[in-house]
Amino acid sequence: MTTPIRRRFGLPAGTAALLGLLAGGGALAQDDADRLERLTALEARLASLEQEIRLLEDTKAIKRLQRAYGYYLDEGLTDEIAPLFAADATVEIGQSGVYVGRDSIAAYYRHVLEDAAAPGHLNNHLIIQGIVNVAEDGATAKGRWRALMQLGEHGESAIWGDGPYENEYVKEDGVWKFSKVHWYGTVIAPYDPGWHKAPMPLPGPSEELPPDRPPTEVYQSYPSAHLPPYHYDNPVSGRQPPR
Amino acid sequence: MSRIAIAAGAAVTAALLAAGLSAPSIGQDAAAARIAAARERLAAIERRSTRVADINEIENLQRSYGYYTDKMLWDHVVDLFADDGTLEIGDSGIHVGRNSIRRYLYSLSGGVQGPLEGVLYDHMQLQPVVTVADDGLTANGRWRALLLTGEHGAGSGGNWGEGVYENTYVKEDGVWKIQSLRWYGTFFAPYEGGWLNADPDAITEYSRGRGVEPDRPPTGDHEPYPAADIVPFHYPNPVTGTRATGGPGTERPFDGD
Repeated sequence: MTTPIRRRFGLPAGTAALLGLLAGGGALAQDDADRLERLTALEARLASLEQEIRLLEDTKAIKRLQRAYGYYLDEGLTDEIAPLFAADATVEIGQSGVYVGRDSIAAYYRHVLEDAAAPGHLNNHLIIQGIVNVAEDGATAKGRWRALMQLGEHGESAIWGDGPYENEYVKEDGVWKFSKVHWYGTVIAPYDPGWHKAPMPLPGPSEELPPDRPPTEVYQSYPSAHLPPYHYDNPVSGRQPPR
Repeated sequence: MSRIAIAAGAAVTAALLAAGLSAPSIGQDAAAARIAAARERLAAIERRSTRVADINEIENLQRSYGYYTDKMLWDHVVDLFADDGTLEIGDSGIHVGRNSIRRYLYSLSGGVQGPLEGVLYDHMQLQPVVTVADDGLTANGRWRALLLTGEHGAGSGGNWGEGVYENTYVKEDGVWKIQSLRWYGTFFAPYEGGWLNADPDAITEYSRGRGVEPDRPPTGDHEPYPAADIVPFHYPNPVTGTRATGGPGTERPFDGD
């Protein structure tokens, strides 16, 4: 086992001999040195394993955060949503512009979710198809998701929507939070008569609660064609999708 | 862990050894046995950790397939397959190898790739059950796709689609790739009226290559809704450990009412 471990961690081949010298030489010391080398190799494997498990736990925690956000959106629970964001986070939904900082974000969600919790309002956001990539340092991460939306006002409107998120996350004091939520609208359309007949444009920035910054990118939803960025390179070829 | 941290740890341990361990406090054989046992336990945990990481990577792979398909980024879809990978979508027949898969996919969009004005091609990748083989080199995955497609204005209008994948994956040089992808369409139906009167032939129309021939004919062992064919399960029941009955040869034709 020592050879691959050495290769993996770059341990010098002479470690055992060096440690033998350190321990004072002699047959017994050489035994100790051998044991020490084996112990060091085990420690290196443990450290590597800890790193792998941390990555999996982080990925799970981020997926939980993103899905929890969706369930809160469904019910218009703005007081639950705002704390999910880091203090200097940003939110950009479709063409509504960028809201910067937790206070501004809280105000934005209060504004857009004003009616979501009232009877007769449907605000379903199915949060699906998550791809989460945690950075090497384990302190930040990025995720692609999509929301399939069923929005409605009973007796008044019923609307389908779909589109991907390209979000970013930050770990603060051991807790994952959003540092960026960015949803790209692919399609929004009334249930009747459907997306092929009456697709709706993405609404622009609110006049009542203007965003802190304009949209980062100007585009429109279906029937327009738009290619949102992918935060990750192709998992097999390593090539970057076109922009 | 950095080399420096390992070196520091080794130095501390060496100092401890130099200070006291040369007068052994436990038998050398006992110590060696404990190290060997610890090494085995570690190896077992490493395998478990790798398996969970493998499932994660395979899920990312299949979800990427969906995100690239949404935007008809065919070169990126093709990159996800092993060199000898196969693809069978509905009645497309079996396309073998990356070049054949590429020809088929490009044929669906008139020879170009990338999102097209007026075309909706959403392929949501949902509900994975991924099983990695004991050797950690191959895997199976069952998924489903919910499709929202459309051509704006005239043309074919809007459609719903749904169906199940039973795919296989292979790990080559540490990277998971699609070995075989097969989508068993359940229905493909116009937005108006939906699956109420779903026409099984609509799956054929959705999935057939345009002007390209498959390398092998369709497997032909599955009928879409309203037939009640069961897509064979690659995995045994997670509780009972027994295999669900059904699949090819157990077709139950729909007799109407």
